[in-house]
Amino acid sequence: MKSITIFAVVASLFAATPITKITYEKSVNIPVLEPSDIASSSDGKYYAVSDNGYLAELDENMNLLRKSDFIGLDFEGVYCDEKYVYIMDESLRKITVLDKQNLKPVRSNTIVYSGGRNQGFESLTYNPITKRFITITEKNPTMIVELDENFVKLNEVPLKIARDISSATYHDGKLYVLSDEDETVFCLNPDNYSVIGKWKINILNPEGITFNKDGKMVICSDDMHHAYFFNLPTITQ
Amino acid sequence: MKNILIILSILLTIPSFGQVSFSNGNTSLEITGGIISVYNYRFYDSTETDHKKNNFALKTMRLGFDVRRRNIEYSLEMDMANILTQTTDPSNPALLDASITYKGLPVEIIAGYQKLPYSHESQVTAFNTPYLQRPEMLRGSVFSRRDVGVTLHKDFWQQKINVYGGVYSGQGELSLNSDNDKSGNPEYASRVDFSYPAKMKYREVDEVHVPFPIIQVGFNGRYMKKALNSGADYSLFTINGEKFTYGMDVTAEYKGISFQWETHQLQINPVDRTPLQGKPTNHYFAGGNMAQLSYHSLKLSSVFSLRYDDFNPNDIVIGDTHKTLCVGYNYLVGGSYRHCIKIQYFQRLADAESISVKGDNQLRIGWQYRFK
Repeated sequence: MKSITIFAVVASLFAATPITKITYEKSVNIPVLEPSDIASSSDGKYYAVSDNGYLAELDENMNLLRKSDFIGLDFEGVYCDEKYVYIMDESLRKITVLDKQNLKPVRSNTIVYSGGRNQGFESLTYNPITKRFITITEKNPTMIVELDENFVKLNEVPLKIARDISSATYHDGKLYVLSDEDETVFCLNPDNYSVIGKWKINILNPEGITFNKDGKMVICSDDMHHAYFFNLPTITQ
Repeated sequence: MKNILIILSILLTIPSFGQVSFSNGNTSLEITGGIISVYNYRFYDSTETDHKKNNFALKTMRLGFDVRRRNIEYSLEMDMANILTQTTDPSNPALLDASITYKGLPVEIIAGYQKLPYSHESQVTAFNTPYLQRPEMLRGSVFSRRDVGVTLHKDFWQQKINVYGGVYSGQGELSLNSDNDKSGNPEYASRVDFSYPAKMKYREVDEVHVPFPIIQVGFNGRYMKKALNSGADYSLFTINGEKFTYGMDVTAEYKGISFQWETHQLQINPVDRTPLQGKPTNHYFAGGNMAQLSYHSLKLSSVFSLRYDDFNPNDIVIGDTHKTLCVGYNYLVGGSYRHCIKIQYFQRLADAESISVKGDNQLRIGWQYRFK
């Protein structure tokens, strides 16, 4: 009995903390080299960015429609609205706004951040209630940075919920953030960034998260070059 | 003085981790660095009176600069500890990287002083291994790990296949100190690795806990024909004659468990026949193996590892194989190799193949901090 107890204690030390796991409905190949973030558009299209510094426009089945001529160093975050596509270059700490019609740059702004080059801003989304853009540093430290519509820094909030954060998206009044190393999706209250839900996704190297026009949660994997489609998780907490 | 330097260096780097990269909107500069300080305790035989190896040591103190602009990358990394001591030991080089990478062509070109594309273990930085010393065969005394030259690299199938080939001075880490040997011949090296079902990074510990098994198999080869015998420990670094080196490595990881296995062999055709021991042959073999199993516990913020390695410097000499079993433990402060405590215990093994045991059993305790 004593040995069983000791074994149970030792096993619990090594075991991972239980967390609800969700599985995807389907997955499709993304024709983009090292896709590091994805954004969905209200017309059903997707915009994916690459570690190799380019933007791709994809149809609703993830077929390549066109690539941008605009090239950067390491695109890690993307967001789109009705008129524009917004890209975050992690290495250069630069947000560039592209016209959706021709994928040409319209304006850009540099966000000063002196952390590790590959540990900078890996996500970009927009909160329509506060009218603020949100970008998050990947790790060491993970920090939510709120920007106004001219990309001027307004606020910084430390976020200590995962080993890293690789993407973020605003959907249905909540902020969803993705951890690559923890393979976990977190749902945050966008007012105070408290965690109100989390799910383990068991996908290798998940780097991008968005919700498509059908309300499906779409996650892209850098290493697997795939997009995975999930039903919207139920918030239980 | 050295110990004061170690303590000062650690104190200086800890608060500076945030200030490491700059961008002007087109070009990015990253400053990297790190320190590993070690205490080494040898379990000497009771008859041994010289205990000089029981000491503190500054294993490495690195400072690096990485510049990226469009298709060009420039890397410079130095080991200040080895600069201060003015070491000429190829296994402890003062310069670690001084190279330019061009990515604007279908084939990536790397020119300058760089790591050779040979062996998975050799590609992993000292900060990201569970141990404080590499296996005997892969420490840099049997074949060089760095050299001046040109490497071509091409990846296929979403980076699951990597092909490397290059030509180098053949002088290895000593290439910066002198001209080429009188033969003037270079060394050629190549590597092909294949990963499935996803690309695998060069690492020894699965800190990510990948959700399905990933395996990589690598094949390595290199050749030189020199007119110089050199090498501190084994006189195998360069050979007056021909030296073929070939090897294979296998790496796998799954949910925090990682496994590495490597085997390498040198076929040496020496001009000087002394190592042939009067045997009726024109060549001899050297070589060895390593196998390593590690587990990364997220909950304990720890890595547990077991490693076996052996090395035979000359197959003609009976009982000359060196065998070591190592146990490693790492406590990852903050959950990553950025800041950690490492413990490594070496148990030297003896049997019919290794009559003379090389070295003593020893315990090393290290503290590392890296900013990147």
